[in-house]
Amino acid sequence: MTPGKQKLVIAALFVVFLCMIPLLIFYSMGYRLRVELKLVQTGGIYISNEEPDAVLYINGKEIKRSGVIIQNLLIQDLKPDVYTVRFEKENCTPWTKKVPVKAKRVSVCYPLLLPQEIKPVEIKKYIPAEKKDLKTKNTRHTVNDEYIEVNKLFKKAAMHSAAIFPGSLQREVLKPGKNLKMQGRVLLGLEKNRIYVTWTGKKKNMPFFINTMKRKQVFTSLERITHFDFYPGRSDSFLARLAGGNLVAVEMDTRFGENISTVLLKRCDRFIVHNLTLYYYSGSRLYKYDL
Amino acid sequence: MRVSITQIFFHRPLASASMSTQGKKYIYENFRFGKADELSGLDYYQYRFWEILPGACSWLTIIGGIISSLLFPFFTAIFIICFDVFWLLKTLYLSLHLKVNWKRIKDHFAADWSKKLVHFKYHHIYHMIMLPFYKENESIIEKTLQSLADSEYNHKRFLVVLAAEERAGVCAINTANKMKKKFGRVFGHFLVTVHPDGIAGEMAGKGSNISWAAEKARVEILDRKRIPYANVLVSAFDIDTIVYKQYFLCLTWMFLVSDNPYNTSFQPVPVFNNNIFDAPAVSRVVAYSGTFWQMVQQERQKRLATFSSHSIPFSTLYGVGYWQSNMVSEDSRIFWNCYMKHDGDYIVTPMSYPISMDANLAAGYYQTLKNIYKQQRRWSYGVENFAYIMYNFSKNPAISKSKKIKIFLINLEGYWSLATNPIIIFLLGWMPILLGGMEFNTTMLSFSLPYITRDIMMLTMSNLILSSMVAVSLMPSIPEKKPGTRKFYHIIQWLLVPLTITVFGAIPALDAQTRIMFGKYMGFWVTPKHRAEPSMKKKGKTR
Repeated sequence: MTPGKQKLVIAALFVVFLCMIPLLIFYSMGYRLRVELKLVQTGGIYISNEEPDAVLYINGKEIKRSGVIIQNLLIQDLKPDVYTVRFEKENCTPWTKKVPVKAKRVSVCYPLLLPQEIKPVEIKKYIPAEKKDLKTKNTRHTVNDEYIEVNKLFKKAAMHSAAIFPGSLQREVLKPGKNLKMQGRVLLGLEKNRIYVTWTGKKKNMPFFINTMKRKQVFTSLERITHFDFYPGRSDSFLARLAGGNLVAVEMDTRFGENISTVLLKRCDRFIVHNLTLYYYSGSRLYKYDL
Repeated sequence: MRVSITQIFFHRPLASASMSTQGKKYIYENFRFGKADELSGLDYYQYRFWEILPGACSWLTIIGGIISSLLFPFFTAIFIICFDVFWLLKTLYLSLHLKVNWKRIKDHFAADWSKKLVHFKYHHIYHMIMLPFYKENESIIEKTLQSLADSEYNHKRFLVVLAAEERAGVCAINTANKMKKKFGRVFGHFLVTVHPDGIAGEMAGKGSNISWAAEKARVEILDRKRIPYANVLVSAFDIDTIVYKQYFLCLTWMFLVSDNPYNTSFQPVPVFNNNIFDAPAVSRVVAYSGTFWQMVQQERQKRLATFSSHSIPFSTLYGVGYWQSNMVSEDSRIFWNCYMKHDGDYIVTPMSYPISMDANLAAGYYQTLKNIYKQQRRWSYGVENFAYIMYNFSKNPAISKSKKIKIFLINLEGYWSLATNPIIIFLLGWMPILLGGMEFNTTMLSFSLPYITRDIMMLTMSNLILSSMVAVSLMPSIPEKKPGTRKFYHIIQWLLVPLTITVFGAIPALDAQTRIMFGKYMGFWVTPKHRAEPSMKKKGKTR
């Protein structure tokens, strides 16, 4: 290539660069050019999601469907306003929320898609004797190891002292207990039948669902809350057992003042969450369910 | 104590800078330094400054990128978008050069250079072929010599110098003698030299060996046979270099048509395809990337320096005291030596004619990866030239300031982009999102950044279509033993580029720059040559 041609190409590419940069920067910041040649500021909604084939509706209109590879959805070009966002997946309870959108900002949502019908697996106390053993008239049942292990977890959870919600939020004085749960830097506390959330980390690192450094009420009920814990694998949701036996899943969000609660189980006497699995007693029977 | 070729040649020990600065005139011979340790006083600090600068710029970019992502995520994100666009356009620009050079190579390869030489008197031109080797096995050397024997030129005008190393042991010397026995009569002269071990002031490596051999060849062939130095073209080849049939005809033509034939070196395009069907995908991609870079540089003569196998008139080579023996990157340094000696009036003539070399291959996969890394680090260690160039610039008033500034910027940008650009694109691009905090992470800019980067990268990666086309065209015919579907792998292998330019591009470059920055100077690492089975079956076909 001759030096003259090289200079020409460089000049042309430089012009392209100068044209592309402002366009891309303004676009990435949320500016859009309308048909009437008016530059408007827009915002967006981001759906953080791990489920494939889930459908997103905004103001009742289907907008996008999550794929097998990319499940998160970003909706751009939204005028600043409040939108009704519905997220649906087959066999799951539809998730709906009023989401305000601000100019040049993205409202992040992490829909808690709960199964419509829970099919738990019972953990039996004894493993039934095999046929071979019956022939030898050995009818003694073997104790189920899993049952023993899960019961140990229940006992361990019950042994925690019932901590009082501390006045100071210094980490060293926080001890998890019946009324205090912590996941990452998200602290949940039960006080006077109200559940509060507090962000204990740096303000800069605040998660999307908390917008204040002060503690904020995220749940209460007419029934007494007997027990609560974080939802398996999530720090923005928790499970609360009410005195009547209902187990409620609550998705907290201090930004929009809307904490969605859904009844997950109708008869639950005790529960624990361990390694993404919910274990619960219904009467004397022990069940497990992978959420 | 054994004396180095520099001492023999210049009839005096390496001069110190303080001596040279006494006189105002720049004397090239006084400034052939390999590293700062060879200097003292202010000159030492100046040389160290230039050694530190490229690495410092690279590290400053990386550390600065992380810190600014933490403190100013918004501006960092804007910078990353600008950089993505710059990268896209730069790739486009380089691809244009690649495409032009690809066509030029095809034309040059298809041309009949003997017909082009009909109108020239060229039978007086001798070709001195320097073949330094270490412990490479016999078959590799034999194939190289065989390709010389198969090439079209009067073989009686070939002065073949097989340069062995004493430190490689008796076996290497025996191999050299065996080769002399086999090919001695094919060429006009066949000289075997043995470079003594442990010469003071030398670094064990290719530069010291080849310089020793060149001086021996001068005394034992040129002077004895009264061959004028001006009639000899030296081709310094790596031992795995296989020449195509008309390489020497092409070189001779380029020498004869050159406006200033003694102020130029000649650079062919190294194509690492001798063992391409045996090398793993990573090795192939890295090897072709090296070839492509050389192809691009062939179209940018002002940025072209000699690399690996190259050719140079003997009189010019003799005038600069051969290749420097006290440093690693003698192949590119020789260009800068000539540049300084001729006060900036020196260029590299791009031949756009291929020569075949080996892609990195070892007995095991892990060892191959290790060797690729080490080879890339050695090549990147060419950054040692930067201090040499800048130091010599400071001492040589005959070179214009504008030239100096231009070369300073070209070189600094080159080293900086090699070590940082892939890191900025593939790693630092995520930093504002990871470190920016909630305030930034809920902005449209934060969410757009990965999408925009992804889309720009997709566009950039489309350039790989051209890369795969060029690579396939440079490939030898697929050996019958290999299944035909392998050609498919030779196309999809280009998806490895983001990995190879980071792991085998940026990181070894950063490694080399960091070493020189801290004064942990590297020694010469000989790339082990390994061929799984005989290749070059259909050498005549282009490839």
